[in-house]
Amino acid sequence: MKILFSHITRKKRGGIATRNEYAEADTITIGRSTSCELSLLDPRVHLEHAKVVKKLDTYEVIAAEYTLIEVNGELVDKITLKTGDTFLVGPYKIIFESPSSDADLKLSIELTKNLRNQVSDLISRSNIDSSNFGISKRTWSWSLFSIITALFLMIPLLVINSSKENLSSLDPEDLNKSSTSLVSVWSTGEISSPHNFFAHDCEVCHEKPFVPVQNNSCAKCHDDIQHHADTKLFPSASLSDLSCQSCHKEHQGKITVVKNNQDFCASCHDAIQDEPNSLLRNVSDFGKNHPQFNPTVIIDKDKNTNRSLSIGGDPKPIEFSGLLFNHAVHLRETGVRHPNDGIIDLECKDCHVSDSGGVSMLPISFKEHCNSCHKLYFDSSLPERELYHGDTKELFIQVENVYNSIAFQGGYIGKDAPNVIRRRAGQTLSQTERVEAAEWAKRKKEQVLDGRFGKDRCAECHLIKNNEERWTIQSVNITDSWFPKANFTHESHEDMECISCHEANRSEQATDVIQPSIEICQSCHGGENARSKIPSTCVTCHGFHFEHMSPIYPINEVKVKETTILSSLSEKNLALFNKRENNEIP
Amino acid sequence: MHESLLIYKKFKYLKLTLTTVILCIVLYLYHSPIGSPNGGTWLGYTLGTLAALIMFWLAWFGARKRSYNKSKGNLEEWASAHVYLGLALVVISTLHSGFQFGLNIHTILYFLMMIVIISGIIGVYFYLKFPSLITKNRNGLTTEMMLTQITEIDEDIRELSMSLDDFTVDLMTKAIEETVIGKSFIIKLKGVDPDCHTSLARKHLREKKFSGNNKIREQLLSKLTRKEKILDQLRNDLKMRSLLQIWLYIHVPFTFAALAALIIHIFSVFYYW
Repeated sequence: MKILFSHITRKKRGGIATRNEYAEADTITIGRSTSCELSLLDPRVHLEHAKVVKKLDTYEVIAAEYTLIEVNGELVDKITLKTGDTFLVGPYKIIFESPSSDADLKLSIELTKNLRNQVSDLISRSNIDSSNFGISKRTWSWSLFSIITALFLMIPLLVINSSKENLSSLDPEDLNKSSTSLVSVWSTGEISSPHNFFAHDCEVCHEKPFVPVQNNSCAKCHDDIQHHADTKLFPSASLSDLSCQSCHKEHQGKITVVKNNQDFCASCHDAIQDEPNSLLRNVSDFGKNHPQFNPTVIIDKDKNTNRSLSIGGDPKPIEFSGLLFNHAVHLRETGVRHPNDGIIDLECKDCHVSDSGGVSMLPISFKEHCNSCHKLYFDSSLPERELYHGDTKELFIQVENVYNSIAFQGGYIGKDAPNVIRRRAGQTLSQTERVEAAEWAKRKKEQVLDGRFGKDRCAECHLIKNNEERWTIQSVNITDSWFPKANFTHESHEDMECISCHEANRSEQATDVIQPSIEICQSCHGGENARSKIPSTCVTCHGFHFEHMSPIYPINEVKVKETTILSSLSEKNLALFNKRENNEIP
Repeated sequence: MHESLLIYKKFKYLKLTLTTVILCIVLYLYHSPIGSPNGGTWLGYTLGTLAALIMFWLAWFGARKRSYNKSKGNLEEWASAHVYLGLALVVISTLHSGFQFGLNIHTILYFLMMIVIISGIIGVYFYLKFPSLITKNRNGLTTEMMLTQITEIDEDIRELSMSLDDFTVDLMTKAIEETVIGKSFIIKLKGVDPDCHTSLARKHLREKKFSGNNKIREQLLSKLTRKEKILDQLRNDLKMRSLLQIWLYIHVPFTFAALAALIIHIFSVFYYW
């Protein structure tokens, strides 16, 4: 059988080139192998791809074992070929032509798909662009810019705007919860605890956008804040030109806005002696540079005079209380004798009790603290009667009345009394007996008042002054605030022994000022930067805005403002504010 | 350029930066504000203004780089100043914050800025490290040359494989037609393609039973090995060139984010002054 292979090549500019090849075989094998009758050198062609076999007068194309072949668009394993049939072998299209004169069988072969094996193919399927990561920097940049702007600028501004508009219609509580968390991203820090109840209402303090918080905002509540010093004597210490904010910084966390920087105080007080009009001594650090304590001692309560003297200085401070008292005797280790209970040990707290706030000591009263031992009996025939304590005039009247009433009633059991006084009670007296009784009463009164049960008894504890009338007790001036410019609480020191600061067990005179010296405090407390001691700053003990100084803001001015400013508080917070003002809530 | 970026004009900008930073630290330590240090004191405002100006200036560098306007000083000088002033920002902005951080836009700004600075440091590191490595790796070849070499080897492989069995030819065809450089984002940055068809073809050819001509097989193996080597070179080149770009995908967008946050930071602080 003679076969004609007609290889067709299409030219780029049109036209067809044909190359004829003849072969002699009974079966035409088609494949990549060079041993095939039709050898097609292409990797897409199998080694043995198909074969064309003559069956009587017809030809059959048969696919290689286990494969199929596409003939006229259909996949078959074998098929009888008709003239014009087309079958595909890899990228080759083979047409079964009508036999020509010089061959029994004609197959025209055309390569339809060229091999892709170019640099451009490799580049096109690869991604060798080092700056191509699937997204452009520009898109990614503006997206982030927009997200940040929307979340942290647009939304807060919208919330602020809508909360202004809807303040009346919305429950402030709901408004606070939902919106403030969105606006709070602007907050520079947590608000201080005392201001927490209006923390969600930014406009309470920040009244106008782009305007710093004004003093008026603070004065809504703090309407009577005083100066630190007399502004006439110390103009440099005037606070009139300062804003509250310059010292009291908010949004610093849940701490107080009261400032405690030692340096702030020391900036003036470390050279305060040089200040004209100043009587103060220099101070800069409690642990290192603080003057000795000067307890303030009342000299004359009536004239309201007092003086401060340094502990351990010369002259040393002396208290003019008008009392005689020996702390050492009362605190001696062997105890003291109680009229009913025998020997008892007295403790400081039996007399000195701090108030419920733990700040100062409650006053000592004779009745409560002295009287159970120190009985003011004055007449053994009147065993339950005690002298009146508190006022000498009342005392004199009391004693006079006691003996007058005995004189007129009788029944007195004293052995030295005349019979008329010892008479049975209720018996009427004659005129002379009356005179005798009155004289006894007068004599007895003077005997008691001027004797050892009266004047002498009082003088055991009090200073006595003789006067035209008789005698009187010098008024008692007990200092209740030894350090009026310092705050001290006994409560925070309650675990300490009293005598570790107050050497009462060694004090025999009431004039002794048994206040601690600075060294005693310094044994535990140091300055603000102390490392091994309790860091204590100026405001640990001292105040700043002093009550006796003039207010920074005149009150009437503030009151007018208050009403207008309070209207800016949301309803809920206004209610809270009013409750607090009226002490309804702590 | 890479060395001289840091040592430009005898560390001119390092000196400037160190002076600024030390001055800021000294002022911060000397400054004793009422309350804890924060952005609202005179020093806080000063440091904040300085930091903001530096941030805007550094961001302007990006725009400057695109404009190629020679009249504004040379680009190298700008880059050197950009790197050092960017580093100064770490100290200046931290001091401005007074070490106060919270869940707010101000701290968000701080962290966005830190991301920008850290990515910048990484970028500088890449710029110092990779250019010489890239040159070394290329060994005088351009990308096009390497690609051409690969296609030439592919031709040889194709010719050699013609007489082999279908399975082997299929493997080789895949090696030729499906070998990809920079297949994915990760592979691009790793510089290694674990499923590279060339490597797979070589492994198969070496390990599997082979019925054909052993000489052809040896020739194919040597061609494939040679191709793999060039592919490694290309992939390594792409990896390093990509790393020189990739940090910018953090640096630039986060600069935009930080600028937005900076504007909001300034706006909000003065809105609620």
